[in-house]
Amino acid sequence: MDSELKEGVDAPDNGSSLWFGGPEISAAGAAVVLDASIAPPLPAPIPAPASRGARRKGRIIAVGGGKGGVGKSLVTSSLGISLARHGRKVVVVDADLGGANLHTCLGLNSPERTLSDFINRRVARIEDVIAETGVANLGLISGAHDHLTASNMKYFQKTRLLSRISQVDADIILLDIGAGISFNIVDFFLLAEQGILVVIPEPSSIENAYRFLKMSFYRHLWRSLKASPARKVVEEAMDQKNQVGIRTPFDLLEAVERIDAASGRFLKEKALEFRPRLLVNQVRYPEDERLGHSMSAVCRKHLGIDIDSIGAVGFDESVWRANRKKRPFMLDFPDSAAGRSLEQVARAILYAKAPPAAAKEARAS
Amino acid sequence: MFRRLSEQDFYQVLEVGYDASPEEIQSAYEDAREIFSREALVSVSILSEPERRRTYERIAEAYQTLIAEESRRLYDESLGIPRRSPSRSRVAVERHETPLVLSSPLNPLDTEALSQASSEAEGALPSGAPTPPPPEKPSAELWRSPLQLGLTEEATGEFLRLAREALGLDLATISEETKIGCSMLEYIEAERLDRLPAPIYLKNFTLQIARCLGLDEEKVARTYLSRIRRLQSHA
Repeated sequence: MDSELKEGVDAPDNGSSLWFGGPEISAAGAAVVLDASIAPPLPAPIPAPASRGARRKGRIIAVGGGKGGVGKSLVTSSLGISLARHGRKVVVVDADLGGANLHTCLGLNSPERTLSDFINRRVARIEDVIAETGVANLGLISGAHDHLTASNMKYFQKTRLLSRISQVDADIILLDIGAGISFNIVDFFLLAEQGILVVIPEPSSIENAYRFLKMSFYRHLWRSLKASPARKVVEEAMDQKNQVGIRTPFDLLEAVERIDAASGRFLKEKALEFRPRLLVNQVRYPEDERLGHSMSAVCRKHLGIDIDSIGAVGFDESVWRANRKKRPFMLDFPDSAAGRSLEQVARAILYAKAPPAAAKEARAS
Repeated sequence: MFRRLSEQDFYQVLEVGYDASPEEIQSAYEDAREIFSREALVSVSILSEPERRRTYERIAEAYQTLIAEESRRLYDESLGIPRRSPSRSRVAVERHETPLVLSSPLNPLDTEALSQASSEAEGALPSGAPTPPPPEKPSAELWRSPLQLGLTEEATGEFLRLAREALGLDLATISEETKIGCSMLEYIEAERLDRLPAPIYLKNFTLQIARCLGLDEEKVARTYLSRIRRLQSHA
């Protein structure tokens, strides 16, 4: 995230866990809150930076997960509310094309205008499809329900859509990405400037999260190669059962290097740019909280990619209660265990800084 | 760092700095062991079983090399890392909760500990003597195997196993005391020539095992190594 976003923020380094107490510290430095009754009251909001505007970098954040039902929409809507309450101008975008339901998590009926209207040019400007949410500073761009237009977009259409979304006047834009690992899904994740991957402590979710990471990593490399002949190798690697013996990104990089040493070096640099963060949701036991840390260790060793954990959110009955009432969870239960953890994730987003260029170079050598 | 695990040095494998203290190495190893164990969901969801095992073994190898001071020093030399300042490493060892260097059973201190342990067991502490604090957990210093090597005998893997069993100890306990992985202990006892590490590491391991079992460590290490060398030349 651009350092501009941090302006006016006091004492960013004392760790949000100080406010919430609790002995467990996750890899992100934030404590998961499993019991709200022992936590102190919610802290004061973080003041918004003085300088604002649409041209800021690092403000588009994609929330993905590879699997349905892990809480992507809940996380997106809650972060949206939380960030808006910190005084940021936020727009949440339902990019779950074909299966949009972000509006439900915000307690709204299906909005009249959706992304479909913009894609099909029934409205001229993307601002025309931003709906009010009833929360100050928070707007919603509802997802397209009409499956055909939405799920079969060409790459350039997605790029165009994303570039329009990025022109929306807001401090932070949150994209709720659909389930699956198709290019449609992965491209939205990659086109955003930051990625958050929601995972729950269940075998199917963990497996899908890895698949999602691997596929989006390969796609990221493929995109950066543009017209290079080495692109063909990346395409082969994306086929999990490929006949060329590429099983891991290490195999892939070696195969590329054999064809073209320069492309190999280039890809190694590009590999470092891929840095999504993990959010562990529905944590029931303290040991599950370490899932993010463990998964990132496996990714470093097996995929060569460096992903951090951005926090952990406890399993919480009140999420279900809010959902049942069709009420925004973060408005009704901000003091609940899950509400507090999500608030910490929102703070982690506000405090996050892009890795300094110097550190990046040091890692590359 | 975009490098295969097999191409990373042991410090990179454990994700610790070159100046890591024994505690840091220990805790990094415990972390990694948990993540790459057979039961760990996080690794079995993405790694094939051979991949997982290779990773696990590489981590164990890194740990075994770096946790013992002598093998770490040799390894550092091979990497061309300048000697760590002795003050730091000494402080680090002193802070370590479980002693890395177990004192020899022939040490007078240990004889005291032995007699104390036996008198405690009988509940017959010498009257008037101040009550010593009870040991927090059974320490290797209290063990002394009833089996000892004869003058002309050599230490075999089977001998090490018998000496261990005579004390009623399992591999996990030895592993805990020596910080040598259970699988490595098994290989040593089974004399798995295809699995044993380079002589310098093997010497260190057998020294530690013998010390832990209350055997003549120098003799055990020397004869076990020459035996393995002989077996390897015949293999």
